[in-house]
Amino acid sequence: MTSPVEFDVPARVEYVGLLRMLVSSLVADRRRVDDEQLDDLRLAISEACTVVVDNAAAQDARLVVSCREEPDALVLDVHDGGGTALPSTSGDLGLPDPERLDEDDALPLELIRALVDDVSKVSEDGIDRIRLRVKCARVGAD
Amino acid sequence: MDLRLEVTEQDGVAVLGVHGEVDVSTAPRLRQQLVEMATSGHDRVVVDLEAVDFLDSTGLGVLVSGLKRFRTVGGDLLLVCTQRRILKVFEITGLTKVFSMHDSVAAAVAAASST
Repeated sequence: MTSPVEFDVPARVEYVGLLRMLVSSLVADRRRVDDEQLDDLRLAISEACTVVVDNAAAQDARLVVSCREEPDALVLDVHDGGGTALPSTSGDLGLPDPERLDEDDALPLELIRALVDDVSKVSEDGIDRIRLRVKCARVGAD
Repeated sequence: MDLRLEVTEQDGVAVLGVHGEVDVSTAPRLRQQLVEMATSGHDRVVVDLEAVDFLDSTGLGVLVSGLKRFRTVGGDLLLVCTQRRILKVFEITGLTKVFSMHDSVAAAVAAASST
């Protein structure tokens, strides 16, 4: 995975599980991660994809996950190909009081924050992306 | 990437066995099942998560909604969960303090029967 890898599927809920499986398989193959890190990554990717699908405005919106390798980290961008404004990942989001939690409360971004080393919203080329950074070495690295 | 739901009964308590993955795609089926159990007269339900491979925030939301539904009528929704990867989601969100969580179906059924 020396060059970026991109998965591009329709922005529909039934594709979230497929992307979760594809991305985690790719990471397990290319990066040195233990089972817990891989579980965390699967959940973080799934949550990010859910945010994008939930916010996708266009009928023909896409769900795109791109994976880029750095020497000591993996960077994953999740977006819909453009046209959707994603919620901010900055600020003091915090988790809702669990006693007052409602089904509609937005937990995904808070969960992602707890699961990866960094999460941010990045706008590039007019596209809002959720960017996840996970520290992990390449397979075969010293 | 599938979800299978199985309803059984132990000592008069309904037990919902959840198998597979609970995410934004499959959670509506879990929600529907819990609603059906609530409307069919069950007031105490044990949800067994031991065979769940994956649970995300959508699944959590459905369980929270179910919990509120049962507690509103004086009942309860109890969980069976020992898998580290699933427990972690509850711990991150603070929901271990909200749900009655147990190590086995027998323990959950006993807890449900004693309330």
